Amino acid sequence: MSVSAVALAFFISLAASTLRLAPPASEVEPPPGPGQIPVPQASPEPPEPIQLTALQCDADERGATVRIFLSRAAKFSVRKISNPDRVYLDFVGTALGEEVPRRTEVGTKCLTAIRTGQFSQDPLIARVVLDLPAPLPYQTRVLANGHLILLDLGEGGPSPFPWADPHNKYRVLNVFVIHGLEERTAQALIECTGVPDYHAFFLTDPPRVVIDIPEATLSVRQFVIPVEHPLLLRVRMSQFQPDTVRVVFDLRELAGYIIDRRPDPPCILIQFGPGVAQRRVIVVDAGHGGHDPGARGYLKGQWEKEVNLDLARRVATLLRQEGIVPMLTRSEDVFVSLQDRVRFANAGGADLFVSIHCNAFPRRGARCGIEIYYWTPHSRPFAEVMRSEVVKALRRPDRGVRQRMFYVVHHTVMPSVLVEVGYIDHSVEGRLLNTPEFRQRAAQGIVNGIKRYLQMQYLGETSQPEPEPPESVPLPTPTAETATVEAPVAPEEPRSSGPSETMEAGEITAADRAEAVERETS
Amino acid sequence: MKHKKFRMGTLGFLLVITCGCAPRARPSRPPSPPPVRPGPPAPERERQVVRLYFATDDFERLALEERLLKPSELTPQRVVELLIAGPGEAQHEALLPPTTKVRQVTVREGVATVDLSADFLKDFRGGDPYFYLAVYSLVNTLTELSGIEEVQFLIDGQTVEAFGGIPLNEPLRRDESLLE
Repeated sequence: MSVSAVALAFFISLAASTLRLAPPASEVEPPPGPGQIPVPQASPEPPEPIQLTALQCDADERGATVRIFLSRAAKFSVRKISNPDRVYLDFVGTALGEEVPRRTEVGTKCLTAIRTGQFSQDPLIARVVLDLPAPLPYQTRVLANGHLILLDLGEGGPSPFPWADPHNKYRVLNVFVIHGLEERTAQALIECTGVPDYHAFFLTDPPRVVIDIPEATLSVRQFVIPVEHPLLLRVRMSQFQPDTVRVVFDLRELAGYIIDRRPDPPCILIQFGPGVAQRRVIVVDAGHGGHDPGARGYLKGQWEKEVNLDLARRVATLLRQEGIVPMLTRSEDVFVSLQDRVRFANAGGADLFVSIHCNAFPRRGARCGIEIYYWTPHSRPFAEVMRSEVVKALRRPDRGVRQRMFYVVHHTVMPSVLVEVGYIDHSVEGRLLNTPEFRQRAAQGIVNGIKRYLQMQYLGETSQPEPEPPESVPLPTPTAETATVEAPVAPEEPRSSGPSETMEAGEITAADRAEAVERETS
Repeated sequence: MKHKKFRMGTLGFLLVITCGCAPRARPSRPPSPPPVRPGPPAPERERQVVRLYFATDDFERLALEERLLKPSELTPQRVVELLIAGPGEAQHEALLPPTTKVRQVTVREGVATVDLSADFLKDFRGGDPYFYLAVYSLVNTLTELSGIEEVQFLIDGQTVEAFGGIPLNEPLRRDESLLE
């Protein structure tokens, strides 16, 4: 297939990214640079003009996608005229950036050239004209809170990949990179027709972040996008499997990243930042083990140590899917001393520590619910986030956060929590803890807590996290003790992530060699 | 706040606490001193207060109970036995399994070494947060005695690496945050 991809003025300097979740207070101040709206003042001054900062175009013989970047949202209009055929966009109150080329030849069957100009000074209007060889359908989309206007020309057509499964649920429409507010941060948006699942992992030599999107067909025109950014080198895309799109972000150096899904516009959002890569190792500590069985369960032969271990393994699998490296203090039924667990975490340079336990009450079966323990004051925000995520995932009674000097949370230097996911001696929770569904939900809740805490740190949030908007599954209030029917939420087993990247006690250094995992794209 | 150790007992408050008495059978004591019981069994008229920590009725914290002991009875071993025997007040809960036997308690350089039978671990009911409470009921009680700052556990004469999230192989200090 002939793909003539034309990339124009690729570098985007969006001073303010509006994609952030909840900007910390410091971000409210407008950073220097053109295009910023000053805080309204008593004496009305004319606002700084909006800047049209860059244009990009991907074109092939079936169509083209033009991306227009603005310093902030602008009113714009799109019109089609014929003789000769052309489509033009007028941006009100907008100045054309000096680096934007006035004319770019494209020369495909769908798009002859792109022209730009300062159509009018008063009112200030910037115009973008697409010269077409023939009348063609088009549509525009507004993304990134108005920072980005997409114009699609021609037919979307079938996937360029004949091996793509026609039954795929999603299409990956676009990938683009926006500079973050701080230097050396960036955000990448993978625009999709819905909000798909993803499976992410990090590889070194060279450093890259790989994101696999299942049930998706790649529907972009350009498969390699170079990026001019201190952290990012380029983005590569492929229809990796008939049902899987792979997007690879090649990094210039080790960088951290946080992945999120957003509903509007539907996309996968990846935030890149410096030095966060070291924040991506999480110790998952399955409590008890070996000759120390922990609490006795409600069911015959049920012991805490086995549930803890299974939960820890599920957490590790889910973390790997997020590109986070789990370190398990034990991955089988062995006794590990508390001192060794702590040494493992501290020496391994882990960023967070999560100990997984089940509770039991001295008067057997008389209490149920979720408890989170921490000791060091700097662990408290982590404990609070963990509490809200685990309670949300399990829908069991919330027994709060407590400060206790348990050895593992006392002596670990990183933020650390001990999660008592439920009372194993309780008639309802003991039975639930025996089911794969409940365990998977518990694991997902713990992983959500980890992710959300990392995100808070990354975004510099110091206050308590805002409650998240409700997810698609409505949350009933914790039901009575008799509730045994649980809504199905998570699959029993998460997708396999290939060879294990998990570290275990005693083999810390063996872990970051995960190269063999990757089946390279393009 | 750490309370003054060995407060003088109220004169005339004479209680004979029999060793091995079933704890739950004992009625709760009114806060006011009972009438003076005249007559003998008082070889020593001076009793001393011992401060014992049991669980609050919701098993969330440690609750204080004061008892009066003859000075001759006031040994660390006896104090641990009183803890095992359980609380005297109805709203308090026992934390140590009643089957636990005290093999020996020795004090050396501020560290009390408490050697308990394995029943302590074997018969304990409850998850780590409650075992934590049990261990610190013992630690906080023993460190009320003068000359004891830390408590080291032995089980059947041996050190145990860890149990219930607490390292039992190193001396433990008081946890005041658990107090009611």
